[in-house]
Amino acid sequence: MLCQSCGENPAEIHYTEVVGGEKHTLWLCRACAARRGIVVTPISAENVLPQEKARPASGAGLRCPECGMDLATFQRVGKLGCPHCYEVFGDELDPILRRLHRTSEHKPPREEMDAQARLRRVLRGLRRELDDAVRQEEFELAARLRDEIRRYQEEAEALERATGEGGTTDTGDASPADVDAARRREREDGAGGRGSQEGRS
Amino acid sequence: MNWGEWARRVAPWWEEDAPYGDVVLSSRVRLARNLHGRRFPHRLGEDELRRLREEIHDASLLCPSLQQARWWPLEELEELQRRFLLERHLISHELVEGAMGRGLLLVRDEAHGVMVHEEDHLRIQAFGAGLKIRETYEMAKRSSDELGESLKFARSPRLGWITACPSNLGTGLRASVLLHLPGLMLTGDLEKVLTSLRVLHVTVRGFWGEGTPAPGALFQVSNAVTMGLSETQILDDLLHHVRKVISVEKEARSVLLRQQAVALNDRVWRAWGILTNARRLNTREAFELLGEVRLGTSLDLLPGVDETALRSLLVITQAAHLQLAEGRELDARRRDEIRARRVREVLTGKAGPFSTRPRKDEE
Repeated sequence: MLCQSCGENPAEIHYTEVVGGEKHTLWLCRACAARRGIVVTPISAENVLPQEKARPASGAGLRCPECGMDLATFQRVGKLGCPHCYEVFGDELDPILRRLHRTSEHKPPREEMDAQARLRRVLRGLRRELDDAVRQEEFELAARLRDEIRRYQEEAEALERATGEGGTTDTGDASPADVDAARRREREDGAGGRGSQEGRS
Repeated sequence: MNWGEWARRVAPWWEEDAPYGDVVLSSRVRLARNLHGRRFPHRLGEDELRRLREEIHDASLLCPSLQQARWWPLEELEELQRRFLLERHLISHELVEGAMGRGLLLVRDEAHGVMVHEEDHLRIQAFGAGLKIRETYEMAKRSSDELGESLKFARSPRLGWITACPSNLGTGLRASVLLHLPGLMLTGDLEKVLTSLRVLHVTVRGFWGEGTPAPGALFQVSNAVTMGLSETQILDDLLHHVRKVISVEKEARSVLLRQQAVALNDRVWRAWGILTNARRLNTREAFELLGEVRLGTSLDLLPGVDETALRSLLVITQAAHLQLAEGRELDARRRDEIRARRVREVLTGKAGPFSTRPRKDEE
């Protein structure tokens, strides 16, 4: 059979491509395959069998008591068997987690502490984009950016207010009488409310 | 709504206001969750898969955000119907092939739902047109919180949400956007931009997955890291990077327009010419040409072309969509003919009202 692309050389490679759920198959010669960016790796035991070398010797005999998963199976399928596996294979998984996530623990920095810095960074970026948009006379984009900046600004102000109020209660010892008075009013309001309800019933 | 009618329409959310719609086609967020103390789906037998599936479905009935969601045990659908769901990104390739014991929940407006027993017991997903990462996340988060009221999800103090694959641990959050980058493709800067994204721990894939050249210059971009960062940080980082890409793509488009106006016009008008005249179009060609016409409309080179119609054609001209719309299986040649006809009808305005919203009487 000749290559279906050039029609000259003998076809050696059966190339299957799935595009949008439709399968297209082509017989190609090596040169035409290479032109299409298809790299042909010769099939050998080394390429087909899972790489055994990388396996750490330590956890080789480990098995999850809950689901029976062992390390070799995990390495083959790339998935754990059940939530408990993470306890069992913890040490073996650590380097994998670090490679995937740059950390082996889920300890995100606390939102509240981080939020100010995050908002400042986002706003800086958006303002730069707005400048660019105005310079390039992309007014539709500029309007959208302006709205977004406003939204983030409101968020930043709300956050500032929240932390600001936290500050005043800390220094609230200056006027403990006010606080007491407020509490008293609250109590009285509550009692009055209940009282009137009782009165009505 | 029957499947044929369904396949003639895009999801209602697909037609909504699309922020940065000239570059960003859609946003998608999914949260992976698993049931506490249960084996992951790939280690369960058929009976157990069905039993847990029912448990999850029952829990969903108590969730306000999933009220009146449609529910399918996937093995009860025909393969063509499952492939249609795949083309809509509602289920994965794995669930088309191995449907036994799997399920799909989908709310009426198709904007969010739950895939049951994919790699994880639950994949809560939400969609939005254009760049709407935060909004789609809020939607998925709401369903996750509500489901968590009646289901006990596996979670560890050290690792966060537990998932079958270690690559999803921590937040279980994967946010992705579908980007249209024809400008960068034409200026030749695409590879550089994509490489720099990968360095920043952003995953980039062609629209149809790994290894395939991206037809229509469509790329799926998502966060690579799910653990050690909060949900907000993950979303904001991705947004930040996506915004950068949007601005370089726009820059590339305006450079092309300044320096190669005639070549660009020629390209775009040729694509338009073929789309409105061809009698056969395969999926790849349709995607590529629709992509070029989209580039043209974004630069106002093609006056009067409806951008929403272009976006919709990307969805409804896919193979399973066409076959369901026609009500039968079709061979590739016949599909290409029907695809060409459909594209012509829509672009030249002969398709009748191209409304994809369910009419009042069908609700």
